[in-house]
Amino acid sequence: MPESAGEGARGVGSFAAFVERNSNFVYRIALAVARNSHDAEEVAQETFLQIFRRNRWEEIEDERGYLARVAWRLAIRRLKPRMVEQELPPEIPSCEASPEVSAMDRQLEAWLHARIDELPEKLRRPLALAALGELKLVEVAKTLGLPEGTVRRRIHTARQKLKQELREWRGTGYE
Amino acid sequence: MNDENNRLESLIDHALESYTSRAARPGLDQRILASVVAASRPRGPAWRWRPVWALAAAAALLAMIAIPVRYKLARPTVAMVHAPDVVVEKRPVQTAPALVSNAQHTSAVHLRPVARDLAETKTIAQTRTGIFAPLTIETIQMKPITIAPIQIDALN
Repeated sequence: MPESAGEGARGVGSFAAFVERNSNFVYRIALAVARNSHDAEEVAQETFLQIFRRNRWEEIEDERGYLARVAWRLAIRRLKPRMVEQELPPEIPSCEASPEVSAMDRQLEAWLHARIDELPEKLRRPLALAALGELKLVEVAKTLGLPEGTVRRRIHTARQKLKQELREWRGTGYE
Repeated sequence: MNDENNRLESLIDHALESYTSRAARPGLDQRILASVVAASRPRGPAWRWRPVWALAAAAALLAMIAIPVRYKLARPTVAMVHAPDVVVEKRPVQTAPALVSNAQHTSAVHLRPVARDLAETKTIAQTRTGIFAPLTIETIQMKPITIAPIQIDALN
């Protein structure tokens, strides 16, 4: 904790800027693990609280990578007692769709989200982290504590599975 | 076939994008900062705990006094008895008259004179000043337990 009042105010001010820069990113990392907004928000709060207590947020070189690792670890720890491998109810997707997605059938989108949720965690997590679009593959691997090649292979396998499911689904009368 | 594959890849990309871009409720930053501030704030003024500490100290002191006193009371009492000095009463030696048996007179019984030390030492109390009085242990007499025989009626 900062010692004097002046330093404290400055510290809180810089921490507020730090939170503003990264809160949404941390939330999305947490959501990739937790799959529900309540847990994701709790994890985001816990992540920033932990960093504030350590009082070293200004010394972090790779903010995103560091935050991703902390948030990921906390989210995993939080969900461990609930047996993450079991299927969790998929959350209703947000209404904020990108222009590309707006063209996509809502029904298909929801169906695909459910299929992503059904993937084994060892495939789903690298896929979700990579899909955030904010971490390089090497950072994803670092966050997961896996070799880069393993992460690449898992992402590929996950996509192949989704593709296969899509083919089968379309074969059963979609379109 | 290639077009089909591209189409599927595109669908998956879009689905993944929407899957991971679910935004938090508005005001996430404020909620995070509020939780940080709340967690870093001291929980309450120190003096709020003073009565608790005072009570705990008083209770400990009371226990320190009460436990030995209670232990002492539970032990059997030992009274200091100032016994009187030992009184030794000495009587002069009395010599009884000699009685000599006469072998010739069988009918009469003659007793040989015996010198007896009649000094009779009477110890009123063996206790001396400053010695504890002996402890008395009372025995509790229990009534014998009698067990009446149980009578079991035969079933019809």
